[in-house]
Amino acid sequence: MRRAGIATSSMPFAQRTPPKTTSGFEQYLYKTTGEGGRERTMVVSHHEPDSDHACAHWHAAEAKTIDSNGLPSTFSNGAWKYQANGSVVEHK
Amino acid sequence: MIEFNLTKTQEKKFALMQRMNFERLSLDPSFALGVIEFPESSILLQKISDIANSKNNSEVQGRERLFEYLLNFSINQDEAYFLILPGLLPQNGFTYTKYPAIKVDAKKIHPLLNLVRGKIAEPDYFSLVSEKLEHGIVLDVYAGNPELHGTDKEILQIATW
Repeated sequence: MRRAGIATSSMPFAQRTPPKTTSGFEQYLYKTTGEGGRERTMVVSHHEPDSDHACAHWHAAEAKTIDSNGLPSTFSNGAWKYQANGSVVEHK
Repeated sequence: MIEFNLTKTQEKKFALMQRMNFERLSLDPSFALGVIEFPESSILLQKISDIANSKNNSEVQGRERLFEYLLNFSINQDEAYFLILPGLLPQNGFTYTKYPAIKVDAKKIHPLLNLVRGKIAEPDYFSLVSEKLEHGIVLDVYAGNPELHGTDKEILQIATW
């Protein structure tokens, strides 16, 4: 979280478990202030182990785009899209 | 007709941000026939996005070949094109305000793309669409979703029509 510029004390303003995803997949949205005081929407996602990560893990990255409802655009399974190259933290 | 229901202050803020994003690219203004300002730019982007989403998209892992796809796209030399450029600043809570939009003469597209290629190391979006939106290419980069793509590494989506 801190690596992605999200204060650990901050609270998510939205969260979801997309219905078409497997158990253990959760997503949270946070607002942060970026360069020049610009507001950024960060997506924090929890994933179970996959081909890229041996353990369950968290991803934190900026939302890919924001739709007119104020929420990030989504994949076909309902998961929020986020930018590549975000921070990843694995956990047991 | 798309309506954004923004206050005048919000409209000004987004227009300013998009202009700053374009200026940060430091492109020679003679390359563009015109800069599309917000909110017209976002209306255009929404139309392009709707067309791209209605087409058969393909996805490949990695963005290394993004400019290759863009430069290989067949251009009608007699037309003008809309070129949506990747932005350098983070987006600011509204659809695609990150991405500057310009109108370009077909003959200047390749020199301009080669110039942009030298300025942006990791582009996350490009679209090149004919003025009447009859043909175009949209390239979008995002993190993969493990359930859909088998990886969380970067994915390049390509839509052409």
